[in-house]
Amino acid sequence: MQNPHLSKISRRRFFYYGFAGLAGLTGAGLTRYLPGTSWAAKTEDGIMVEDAVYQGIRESLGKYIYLTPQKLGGGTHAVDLGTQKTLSWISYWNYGDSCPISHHLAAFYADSGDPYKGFEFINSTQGGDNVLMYGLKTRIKENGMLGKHGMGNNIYRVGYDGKTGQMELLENIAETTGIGLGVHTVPFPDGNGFACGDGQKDVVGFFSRARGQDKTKVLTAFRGDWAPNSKTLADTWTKGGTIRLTRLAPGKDGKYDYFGTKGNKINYEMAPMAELLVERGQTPGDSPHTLTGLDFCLHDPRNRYSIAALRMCGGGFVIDRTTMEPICYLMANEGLADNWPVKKVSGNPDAWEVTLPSVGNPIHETGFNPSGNHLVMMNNLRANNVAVFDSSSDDPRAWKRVTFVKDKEWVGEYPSPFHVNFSIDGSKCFFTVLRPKPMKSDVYVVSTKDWKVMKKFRNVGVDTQTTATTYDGKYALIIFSGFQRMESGAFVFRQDTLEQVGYMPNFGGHHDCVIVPSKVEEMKFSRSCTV
Amino acid sequence: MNPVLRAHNLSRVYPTRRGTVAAVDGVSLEIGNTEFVAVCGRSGSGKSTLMALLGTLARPDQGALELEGTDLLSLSPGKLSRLRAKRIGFLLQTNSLLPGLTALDNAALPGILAGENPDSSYDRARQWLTRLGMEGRWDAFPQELSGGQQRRVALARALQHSPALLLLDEPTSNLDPRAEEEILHLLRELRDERKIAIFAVTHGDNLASLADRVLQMSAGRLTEGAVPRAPAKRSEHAAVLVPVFEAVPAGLAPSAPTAAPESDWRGPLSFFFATLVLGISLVFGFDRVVAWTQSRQLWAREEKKRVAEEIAFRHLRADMESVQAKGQGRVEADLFLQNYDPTRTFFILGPSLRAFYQADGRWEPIPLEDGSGNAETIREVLPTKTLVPLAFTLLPAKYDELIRGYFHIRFTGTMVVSETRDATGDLFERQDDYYIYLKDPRLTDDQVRQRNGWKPGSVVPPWMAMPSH
Repeated sequence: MQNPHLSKISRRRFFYYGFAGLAGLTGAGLTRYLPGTSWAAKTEDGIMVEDAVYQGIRESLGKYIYLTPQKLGGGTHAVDLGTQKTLSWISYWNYGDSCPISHHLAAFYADSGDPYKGFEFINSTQGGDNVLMYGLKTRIKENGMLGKHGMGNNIYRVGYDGKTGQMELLENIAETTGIGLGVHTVPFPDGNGFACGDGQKDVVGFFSRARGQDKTKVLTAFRGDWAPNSKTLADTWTKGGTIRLTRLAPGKDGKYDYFGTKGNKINYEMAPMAELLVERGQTPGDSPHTLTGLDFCLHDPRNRYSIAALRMCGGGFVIDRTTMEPICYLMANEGLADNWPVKKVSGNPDAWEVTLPSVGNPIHETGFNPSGNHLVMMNNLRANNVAVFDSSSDDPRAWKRVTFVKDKEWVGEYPSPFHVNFSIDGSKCFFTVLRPKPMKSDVYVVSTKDWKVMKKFRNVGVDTQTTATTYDGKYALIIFSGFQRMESGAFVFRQDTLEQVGYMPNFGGHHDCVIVPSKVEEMKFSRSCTV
Repeated sequence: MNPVLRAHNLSRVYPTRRGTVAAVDGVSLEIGNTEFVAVCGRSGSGKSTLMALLGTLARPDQGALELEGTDLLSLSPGKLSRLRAKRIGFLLQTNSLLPGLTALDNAALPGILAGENPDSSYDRARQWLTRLGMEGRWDAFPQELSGGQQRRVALARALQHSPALLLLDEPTSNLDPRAEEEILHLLRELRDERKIAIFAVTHGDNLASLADRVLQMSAGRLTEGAVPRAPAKRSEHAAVLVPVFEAVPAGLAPSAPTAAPESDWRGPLSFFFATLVLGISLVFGFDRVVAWTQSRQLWAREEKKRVAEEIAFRHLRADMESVQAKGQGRVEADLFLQNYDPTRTFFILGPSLRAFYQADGRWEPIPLEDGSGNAETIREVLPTKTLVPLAFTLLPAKYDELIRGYFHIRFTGTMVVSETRDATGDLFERQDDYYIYLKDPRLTDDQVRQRNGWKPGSVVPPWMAMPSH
């Protein structure tokens, strides 16, 4: 017998069924809000932790030019962040360099106020022999390409001309001056010169700024040397010694004698976190036991003082650029005094010394905040923390270490806080946090109010390196180089909200990056005050 | 007797291909609040148009119209619609019952549409249907009812709101004599008992004979006419009809609806769509629940894999710790394993190790001694370094010298990472390559210095860890 309720559907029943159906649909729709089906973001110990999301960038990042060297690719290219297309590029092979390893770079502000019309930048190339460290099945040495024209340590000054849309090599400053250096190039905050260092030679040079076809001049140059207390290589730094900083003098021809590989204490660079390989005897070289690791010199945004950092010696000299003499020595190691006096021991040549009882661990990248009242310096490999100095005093001898940025994950040799930069408003500090292969590295955001970690971007990319911030305060760009031969790219997030924006492609294993400033006021947010 | 309806000089003209036709031409009329007015006339005389104008279903081209003192022509369409729904009832030539609704639903519809309480609407509908002798057929669909029964349902619907004016358009047309008598009987009762104004258009004398006043309509004009004489049998017939509405079919209780005829497609179609909606809802809902459950399971599985991957790639460090030449080309080395997260415990199976040296651009395998690596054992990875030994002998006649005097050696380690010691659940396999340069033991340090152009006394490492690549 037919069920009368099924055989006759009244309008009310029809509505009832309809409502039941709608309720079912609504309920089904609500299932998406049920908990536990997302792992995008979470909080650990009060810190926002977020996995990087692999997505492209769907918005313009502003009218900026983003410069990225290709390291083993042998050149540099400029990306228009507004359109994310390559604006121009240069390859140093084409200029007769038979092994250019385009390493670090920094741009001067555009004289016209518009980088798209033209600008100049300084690009160092690493020592040519470093190409042998990556296991390439290369015949580059057999073919004689690491000889006279492939030694590396060139300092190229390059101009971009907006009219032609091309880059042109303007000057090899290493040839002009006789000082060949291959690591950080750091312009002065006023844009009137730059410093360049090299931790294989322990030499840092201060250079004037030349424009166009003019030639660059050396303002002064120093060499660092370590005189260890122990004769055992393994104890060379941990048991203390004396640092001597010597002013270098040019020869009769006006040039210095540090061209190419001349002056190398070790044959290969200390790759990030490779400082301990030196004391373990795994780095060949003429005199590794005298190594200070003078890799870079960056500048106080107030434009008077510079920090010549010595990786192996756990700190850096404060150089007064008005006199070009060291003032004091800042030490990042926890448990040791933070500010050491420097004694001038010779006037011909000028030489200064500071004696340290021990070096607990090496330091690496360093940076001033935009106002200059704080300086941060990485303690790597043993302590794995970040020393924070109060640098607000006009007298660097009064600069004091006030705290350390620490994180429970920063234990052992890795992961290590690495490169540093600040948000344009100075409220946040951005650290790349390096993990060894095959791990993907992170980016940490630290509040400059209390120097506590406030956010972690995890799994950003293999081998995260330097950061750049757009000068409108909107975006931060983190470049990662994939240890030169693996995945590379640039991870972008917002400076203000710390929301992820996405990834930009980058070609060639970039190791460094900088956004070209349009005016002198932007220099302090550029590669002048942080590395 | 107060007038319920006042019409003054109503006119309505229709354009045609042959010119305009005045369907209603200057009609003036008043209907009292209990008056029954009938308008007679031939087809096409304008009766229906007049009723449409009085019922505000059509708008006159000119004239004035009031219902209970309200100027109907000045009201907005919305207000007019609401007033019409509550104060005017219609019983038209066609019943216009909705076929998908029962008699009770049809009768209650005006109240429901007016937004009244459905229970009140249904109560009134039941009362009217009972009053009209339909108490046994509430659940019947229109197609199951006779013509007279359908007309009674339509009348119940018209009376739902107890209107002030009931408009009838040929209410007994197309009815058989018995059904006609039923309707006439009802109207007579309404006239006598419900105190309602009735305006009926008809061309039949039977209906007109009930009216208090009969008007004649011709060519759109209205004139007073004689009250027709009632048929001789009307009273007798009416007297016997009062109790003789069509009897409720035997065996049909009010709550037991009659089965819809199989030949009528509308009932089954409604059922089909209702069932379809219900079925789709159930299927869709079930699908979503299943999808959610599956997504939860997938998420849980992915989360486990993610955790395993996180352990493998974020917390497990493995690299070469030491390499020592022991003479005769024999080399002993240690790989270290380290847990970078002191809060987490995890285990690995392995590592299974292989070694290669580079010659002519190719990776030539190096046989490892027994005991190298640890392919069969599950071990916990500790925050302190755990060493995994390996040993081999290498004295190749030819090898690639990326750095002169050094072998280019690659170790490959494969590990399976698990959160648990029994290695159940989701596991993650990690494979690493570790590259070193190893000094050829057949060369002295001075030979190496010489071949590389290094200065006398410079450091000649017995082995070099290479940057990750």
